[in-house]
Amino acid sequence: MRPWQLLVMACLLASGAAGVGAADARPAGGAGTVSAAAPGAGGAPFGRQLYHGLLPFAAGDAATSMRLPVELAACARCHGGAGEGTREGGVVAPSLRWRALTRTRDGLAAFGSTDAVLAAIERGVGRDGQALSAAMPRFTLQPDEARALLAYLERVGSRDDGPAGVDATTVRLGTILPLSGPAARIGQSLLAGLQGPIAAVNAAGGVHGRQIRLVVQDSAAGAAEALRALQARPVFALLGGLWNEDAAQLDPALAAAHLSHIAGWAGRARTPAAQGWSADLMPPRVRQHAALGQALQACANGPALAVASGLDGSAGTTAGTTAVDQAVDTADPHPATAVHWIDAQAPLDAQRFQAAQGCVGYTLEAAARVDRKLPHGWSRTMLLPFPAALLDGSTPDLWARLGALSAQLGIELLGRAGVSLHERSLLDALDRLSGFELPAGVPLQFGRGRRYGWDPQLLQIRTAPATLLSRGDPR
Amino acid sequence: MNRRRCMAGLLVSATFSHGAAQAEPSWLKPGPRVPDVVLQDHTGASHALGSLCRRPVGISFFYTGCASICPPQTAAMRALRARLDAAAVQADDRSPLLLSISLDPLGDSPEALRAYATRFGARLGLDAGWLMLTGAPRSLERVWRSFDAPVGQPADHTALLWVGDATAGKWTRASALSPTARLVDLFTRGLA
Repeated sequence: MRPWQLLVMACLLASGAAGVGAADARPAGGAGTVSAAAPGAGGAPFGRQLYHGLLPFAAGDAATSMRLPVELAACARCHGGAGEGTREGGVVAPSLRWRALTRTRDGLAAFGSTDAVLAAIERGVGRDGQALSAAMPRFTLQPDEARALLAYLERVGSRDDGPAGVDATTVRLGTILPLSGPAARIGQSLLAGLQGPIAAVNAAGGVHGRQIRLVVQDSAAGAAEALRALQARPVFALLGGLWNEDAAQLDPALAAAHLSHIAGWAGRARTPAAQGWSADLMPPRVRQHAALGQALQACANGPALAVASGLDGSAGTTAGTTAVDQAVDTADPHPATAVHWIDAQAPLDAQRFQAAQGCVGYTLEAAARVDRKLPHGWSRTMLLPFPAALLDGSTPDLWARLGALSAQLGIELLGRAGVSLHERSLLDALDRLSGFELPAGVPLQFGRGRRYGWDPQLLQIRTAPATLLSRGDPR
Repeated sequence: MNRRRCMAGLLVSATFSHGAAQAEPSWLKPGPRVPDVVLQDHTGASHALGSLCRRPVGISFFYTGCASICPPQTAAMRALRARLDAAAVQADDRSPLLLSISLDPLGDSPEALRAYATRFGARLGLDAGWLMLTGAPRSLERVWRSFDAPVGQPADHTALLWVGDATAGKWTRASALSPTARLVDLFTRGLA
């Protein structure tokens, strides 16, 4: 890859794809809000909406004996989006699929009627009259809620129990890309990358018998507007999107729409929320800066300078984050060297580099400017927000390669999610992605509390070819 | 699996068994060693764990991304705090302090703790008798190891509540989902 390609890409990745259109990403709703639609609205049955937390129980926090926050009281959180049951720590939340409820289990009788199931939900009376675990809340349901929920339990996890954008033969995935304006070529490259693996898997029969249809929306009118347009199509999830603003600005609208966004490329200052609807491949800037800062703290031969984008003016503090986040991220009781932070967009003061020796670390977009100022004798470390393996020169169009990676991850998650899909299927599948490599040789690091797949990478730059310093988050 | 972890697992299994009898708590002396680490609370303020544990404490482990067991566990901690306050177990600096310690330092920033507490309407702070704590991974790992919490596998954690007095070297464990009155008893009678 040529240096100018690196620089263009880095400028886009580092700070919210600066220059990609002039979008307005005003969120469509508050973070974590639940639709206020009337029962049965939105195309999904009322019981399904209650089960998945798409609508709150009428009693609010008082719907559960332990007064759980209503958004944490949905059945799907513990029993799984397809009613398959889950285990966490010492607690087993059993399957709620009707055929499981109506069969014996562990020597205990089947639930014999919907009234018996309701007694379990409302009073904690389980099979053979035994008390359910204390971890199971006792619910206070309105009569219409009880009827709807029981009716839904008879079909949860079945093939026709699908979310918007999914039917028996097709799953529709949306993407938001800059298809017009100055970044249109980037958007087209990403789109071509997305389409390749999808076409291949469709030709091989699709995923669980469903063909993937990619629905594309231009980001020119803003990511939020594009999202509204995709909702109307409708789509099951978003894949590999890129727009101008910080990725987090769309998160409230994604939550309100119950749409996950997998492997997007818009820059992000903060770590994606574990309970949110976004999962990136790139680490957020706060993690990138922490990695760079920690590496430079070990500098033993002179001043240590970090040149990075997205700083908020405070030393080492990522714009959009708080000082306390940084304190946790970078806490080192015995730092060898104080690190001086310089915004990559600000003029570089030559006096900073007057010492004969020192250490400088920088992000990709600052590389050329720093190199011009840097005397011999300084060690140089470059920070990458993606695996160094992507710089192997094998692909002339890196954006297309990134798009293909998004598609590969989406296809993998669809496969692991199974036939029965629900709104958070792809995010749930991320938690079970242990060992999956993307690209080959780079295991993704997703988990329940971690919504980004790659660790920051540090390259020690020499006059000879670059040497990989670390493959992992140095913490 | 070490012996203490095995015991903790048995305790949890018994707790969630149908119709399990409530046994008298067994007390560990001196119990876990409180590591010399500094953790951050929901405001970013730093606390030496050893200093916090000079009061009777109830310690549980959780993470804000936990889907199933942590919400009931946090609700149980909230109920316990309210009952301890109502019982006015101890005035002054010997009043029990509840500590909810993160198992996920990468996901649980102070702001994440703050947002999580807000969802539960939990009042945090030393004066409120309840702190949610996060910190650097290497610091938290020392705490997890001392209290038999899973290292690097937050989803494997149990809903155990450690109740103890580090000064007196007296500790016990119970399910945080035990009846609140039973947990209050551990402080009022067990540590009296």
